[in-house]
This record gives sequence, structure tokens and C-alpha cells, in this order.
Amino acid sequence: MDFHQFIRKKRLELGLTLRKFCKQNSYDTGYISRLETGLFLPPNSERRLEKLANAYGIQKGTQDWVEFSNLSDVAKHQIPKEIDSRVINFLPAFFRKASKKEVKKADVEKLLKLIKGRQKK
Amino acid sequence: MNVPFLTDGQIHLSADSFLQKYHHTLDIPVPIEEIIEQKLDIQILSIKGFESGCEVSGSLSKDFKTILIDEDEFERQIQRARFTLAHEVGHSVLHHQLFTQSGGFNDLDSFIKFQNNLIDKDYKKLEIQAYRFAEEIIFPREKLKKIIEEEVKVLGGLPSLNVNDLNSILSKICQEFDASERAVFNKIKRDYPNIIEIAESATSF
Repeated sequence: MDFHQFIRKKRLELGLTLRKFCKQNSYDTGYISRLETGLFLPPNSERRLEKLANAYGIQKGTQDWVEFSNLSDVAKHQIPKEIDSRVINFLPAFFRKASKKEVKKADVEKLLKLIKGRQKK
Repeated sequence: MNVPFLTDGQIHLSADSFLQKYHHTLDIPVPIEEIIEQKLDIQILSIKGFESGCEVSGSLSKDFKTILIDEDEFERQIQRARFTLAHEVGHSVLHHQLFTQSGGFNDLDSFIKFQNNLIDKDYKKLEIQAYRFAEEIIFPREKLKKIIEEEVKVLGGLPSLNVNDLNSILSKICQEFDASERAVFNKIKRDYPNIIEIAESATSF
């Protein structure tokens, strides 16, 4: 199991939707949904990582904490290319612009950029 | 891709079977986000600038495992977002097999080719079918009928309805089903056109 799958599983075990989880813990839905899809890496700072663990109901010293820490370490060592190769899986099955104009390469590049988002350092 | 025509009856059957499987109590408002995340195991990816940048507010990923939705809509236009999410579920239920059979796409070039080869007529069919499916799950038919009948009765019966009564009915439905005014109006216009006709004709005199 990867870090993103682990945290999503934890949230669902808490019985929280993405919306409720983010509201309860003052997170952007864009940030959490990208963390949970593996498009963003876990935060580097220990403080932010602990805040995140806490939001997912993971307490320090527990087996879940060990797993959370280990998986986040592994995730942080991914190379950007690995994430880039996954972004394509999020391309829409059916895609048409409201203007009905032909889909061009520039549209796809913009789409991929939006899907990937920009993770704050 | 050859998109088959689906009758309203076929879409009703699919939606009924979906609700029976994932929300058999038919309690309203239908908890669409819980159904998507917990029962269908589909992820929601909230994307800032999706609508302004790509001219779409929602999409279903090519592996049918993620719904992409505009972040502003998801966070601030919740009723509209509920319908968008239900619409994407419609694609997932009605069009997954069709997409798989068509071969889909595996890289950026084949994505562009696939989308541009999808003719308008087929694209419209896909969209209308997903829209109707969304209506059926956001407004479970029997629940909607019951609420409309009760409201019409409270307001003195069908023949006496005026525009204010119509607005009151629409507002009640928005509230009960946690749906946008636009979605409610479209639904009533299609399924209960007489209510709109009577209310509007009462005002024109």
C-alpha cells in the first residue's frame, strides 16, 4: 500500500467524506485530494506531517503512526517523473470544451498542469 | 465510438437499480458524496481553475476511478457540485463498458485523437444520458412525486397555482433535495410541465 492509499483508507474509516474531512481540519480540498491520489508528496516538515496524521486520527506511538511515517518516507523519495507518469491516468474519459472547439495539444498541457497542481514547498 | 440511444425508461431502470444497490432507503437529500467515496470507491479530485481553464466543471478520469471537479464549485456551489458529481456517476454507470470497448487512449496523442473523433451527435448522447441519470438519483422519482403532491395540496390544488406558488414549490424541492434552482426547474419542466404551464398562465392574466 502507498502513502496516498493509506491515508485515504484512514479517512474513510473515520466515516468522513473529502468535504467533511477538509472542513473539520481546515484543509483545501485540492490539497487533500491530491495527497490522497498521490499527485502531491507528503509534507516535508515534521510539524505539518504530525498535523496531517492527527487529522487522519493517527496517534504518535501507534502501529498506524509507524506505517504512516514509513510510507510517507517512501513517498517523499519518488522522483517527479514517477508522478508525471501517473497524471495521465487522470485525463478525462470524455472531454469537450464548452466552446466545442477542437482539442489541441496546448489544451492537454493545460489540463495536465491543472490536474497536477502546484505543491507548496 | 457508436453511442447507443437509451430511452428514458432504460435510464430510469439503471438509476433505480443503482439507488436500490447503494441507497435503498431513498432518504433525501441523497448523500451522493458518501456513495461515491465509500460505496463506489471513486475518488474526488478537486481542481482549482478547472472550469475557467478547461471549460468543464466536472469529468470522469479515463480509468473511471476519479471524478475531477472544479474546486470553486465543489467548495462553494455545493448544490451544483452535487449534480455534477451525480452526472459523472451517470457516465460511470452507463458508459464504462462503451469506453472500454472503444479502446480508449493511452497517451496524449491518442487522447487528443479520441476526443476529436467523438462526433457531436455521440457526445450529446453521452451527456444527455448522464444528465438524465443524475436527475434520477438526485431526485428519486417517488420522493419527488410525494413532495410535489403535498405542496400542491397545501397551496390549494393544481388549478389555483400562480407564479408565487410555483416559486414556493421550486424552493421547497431545492431545500429537500439539496439541489440547485436550475436543476430543479429543469426537472419540473420535463416531468411536471403542467405545473409550470398553469402557474405561468395564471400570471399572464
